[in-house]
Amino acid sequence: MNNFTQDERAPLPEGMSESETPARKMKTPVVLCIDDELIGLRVRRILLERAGYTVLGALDGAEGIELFAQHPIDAVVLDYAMPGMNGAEVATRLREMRPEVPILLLSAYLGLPPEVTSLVDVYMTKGEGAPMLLKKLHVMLTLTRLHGQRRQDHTPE
Amino acid sequence: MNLSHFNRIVRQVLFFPVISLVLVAAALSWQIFSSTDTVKLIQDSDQSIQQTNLVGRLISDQESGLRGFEVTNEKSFLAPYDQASDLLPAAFDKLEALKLNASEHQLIARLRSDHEIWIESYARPVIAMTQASGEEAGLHDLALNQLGKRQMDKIRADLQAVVTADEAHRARRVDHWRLQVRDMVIGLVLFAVVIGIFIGLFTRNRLHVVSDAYQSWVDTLRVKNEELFLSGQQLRTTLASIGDGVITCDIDGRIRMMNQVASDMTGWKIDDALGRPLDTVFHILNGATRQLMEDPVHKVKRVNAIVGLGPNTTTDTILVRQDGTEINISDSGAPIRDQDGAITGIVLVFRDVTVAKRTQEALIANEKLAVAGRLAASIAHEIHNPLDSVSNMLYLMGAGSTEEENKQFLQMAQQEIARVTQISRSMLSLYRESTAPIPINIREILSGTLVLLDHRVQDLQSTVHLTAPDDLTIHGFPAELRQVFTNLVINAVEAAGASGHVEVTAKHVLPAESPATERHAAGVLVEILDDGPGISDAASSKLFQPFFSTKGEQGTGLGLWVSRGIVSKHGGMINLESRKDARGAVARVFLSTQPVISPGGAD
Repeated sequence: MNNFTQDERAPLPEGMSESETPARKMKTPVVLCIDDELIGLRVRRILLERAGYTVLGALDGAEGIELFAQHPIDAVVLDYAMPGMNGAEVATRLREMRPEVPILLLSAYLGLPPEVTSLVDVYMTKGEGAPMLLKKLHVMLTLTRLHGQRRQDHTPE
Repeated sequence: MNLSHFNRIVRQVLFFPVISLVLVAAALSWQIFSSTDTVKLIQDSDQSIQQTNLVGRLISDQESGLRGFEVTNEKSFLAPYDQASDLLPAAFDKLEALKLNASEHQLIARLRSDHEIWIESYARPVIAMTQASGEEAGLHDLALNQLGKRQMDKIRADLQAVVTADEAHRARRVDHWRLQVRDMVIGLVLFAVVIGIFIGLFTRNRLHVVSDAYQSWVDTLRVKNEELFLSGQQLRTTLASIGDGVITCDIDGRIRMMNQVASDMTGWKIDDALGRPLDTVFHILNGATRQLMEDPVHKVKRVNAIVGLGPNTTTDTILVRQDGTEINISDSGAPIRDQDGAITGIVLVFRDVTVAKRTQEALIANEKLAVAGRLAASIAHEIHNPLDSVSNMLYLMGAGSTEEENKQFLQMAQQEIARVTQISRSMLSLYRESTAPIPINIREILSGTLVLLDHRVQDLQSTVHLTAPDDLTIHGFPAELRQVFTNLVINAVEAAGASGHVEVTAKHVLPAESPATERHAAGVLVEILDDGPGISDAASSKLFQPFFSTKGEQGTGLGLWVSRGIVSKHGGMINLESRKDARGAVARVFLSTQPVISPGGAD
C-alpha cells in the first residue's frame, strides 16, 4: 500500500478549506476500494491517496471481504458490476461483519434499483467525476465520525 | 314422370289404336264372310232356276221328239226323246240335291211325279201304238192325246211353279244380302266412330299426363333456374364484396371472371381483361430477383394443388399494374375441378400487402432498436468504466503530477480509450450492415456478442461458456447474425437465471447431419443450451410468431420472429425446444457455408 506524504496530497474539493481537512486533525482514514477494473482501481487509489486517505485495493468481492476482515477499515468504495459477487452481495456481507463502516457504492450503471441502493450509505455513478467522489466520501466519513462521537458521548452513562 | 313412364305412355298411345283397328278388321271380315254365305245362297237359287229350266227344256225335247215319231213312225225322230229320257233322271237328281226349302222340294217332287205319269200314261203307250200300228196310229186315240196334253200342261204348270218359287226364294235372299250389307256399313261406321272417339279420348288422356309432366318439368326448371340465378347472384355479390382480388381463368389461362378489387389492383378494367391471357393482366415478378414468376396457371397445373405463388413465404411478389406502377402482393392459386377431379380452371386470390410489408419492415426496425435498448445499459456500463478512469486521470494530471506519473496516466488513458473504441465498434457492427454477404468467422461473431452481453450476464448472475473452433467460416451479414445470437443468448441467460449456466457451442456439420433440420448443405451448427425451466408445450408452437412473448412488458415478442427471418434469409434454419437430455432449452441455428442468400428476406 502506497502512503502519500502530506506534500503529495491531492487538492481538496471546492468549498473545503485546508484547516477543515479531517485528515489533519486525526489519523489518516483507511479506505477499501473494491473494483474489477484494474486501471480504474489504480487511478482511483492514486486519487484517494493524494486526497490524504490510506487506500486498500481489491479486484473482486471475495478479496475485498478478506481485506475488510483483516484491516481496520474506515470506509468502503464499492463497484457494483463484478464477476462472482456483485456490489449488493458484498455490501450485505460487509454490513453483517461491521455495520458501522460506511459504504459508498460507485457504479457505472445508472438507476440501480432501491433494494440495492438502500444497502449502502451513498450511491453515485462513475460519470460524476473525481471532485464529487472526494466530496461525497468526505461527507460520508464526517457524518459517520460525528455519529460515532455522539454514540460514545452517550455510552458511558 | 320419368323416362320409363313416358315410354309406357308412348306405347299405350301406339298399341291402343292398333288393337282397336284389329278388332274393326275382325268384325269387318266376319260381316264379309256372312254376306259371302248369303251370296252363295243366291247363287244356289240361280243354279236351281237354271236346272229347272234345263229340266223344262229336256221335257219339251221329249214331247217334240215324241210328236215327230208319232207322226212319222221314223225312229230318228225319237232320238231327242231317248236322249232327254237318259239325261232327265240325273237332271232331276241334281235339282233335288240343291239346297232348297221344303216347299220347293215338294214342287220338284210333284213335277217329277207328274212327268213320270206323263211318261207312263202317255209317252210309252204312244210309242208302243206307233210301233205296232204304224204311223199316225197314236193320233187317232183322242182320249190318250187329251190325257197327254193335260198331263203336259200340268207339268208346264209345275215347272212354272218351281221357277216362281225359286225366283221368290232368290228375291228373299237378295233382300237379306242387301240388309246384311246395309247393317255392315252402319256397323262399320258406328264402330269406326266409337273407336275413333275412344282413341281420341284415350290419347287425349295420355297426352294430358305427358303435358302435366312437361308442365311440372317446366315449373321445376323455372324454379331451378331462379335458384341458379340467385346462387350465381350470391356468388357474384360475394366476389364483388370480398376484400381480396379474385381472378378466375379457364384451363388455357384466359380470364373468365375478375372482381372489382382485382381490377383496381391490376389497373385493368374488367371488360378489357376478360378473355385475355392471364399473364398479360396479372404480371408478377419475384420481389427479390425481379425475375418474371412462373405463370400461376402452369404452376397450379404442375403442382395440381393449392399453391402460394411466391418461391417461398418470406419472399414477396410484385404485381406490375397496367400503368407500370408496382405493388407488393401475397397471392395463392387454387385449381377448379370438375366432377371427375380434372382441372378445368384456376382461381387466383391476391391481396395488396404493400402496407403490411411496410408495417413488417417497421416492426423489424423496431426490434433492432429494442435489442439496442436491451443492450444500452450494458453498453453504458462498458463505456462509463473507462471514461471514469480517464476523467480521474485528467483530474489528477490537471492537479499537478510528476512527469513519471503523467507518462503512466497517458499510457493508461490510451488503453482505456482503446477499450471504448472497441465497444463502440462492436456496437456499430450491430447496426451497420454490409450490402453483400461477406466471410464471417463464427467464433469472432459469438465472442463479440458475448462481450457486449457480458455485464448483462453478470447482472443476472449466470455464466456463459463458449466452445467454438477458430476455423468456422460462413458467408453472410454479420450484423444480422449478431442480432440473432444476441437474442438467443439473452433468452438463454434470462431463462437460466441466477447461478444458471449457458453453454454456447459451434461446430462444423456435414450435409444433412444436423438434428435441427431435414436436409441441407454443409455448414455450421450453433447450439445455445441453458439450464432453465425449458419451453412449455403451450409456448412451443408460438415461439416464432410475432408479438408472442413470455417476458410480459420486458419483451417485444419480435426477437425470435426477426431471428428466423434473418436465418432463413441466410438459407439456414432455426429451432428452439426443451432439452431432451437435461433440464433447460436448446436453440439451434444452422447456417450454410455457402448459402444462397435471398435478399428479400425479413430485413
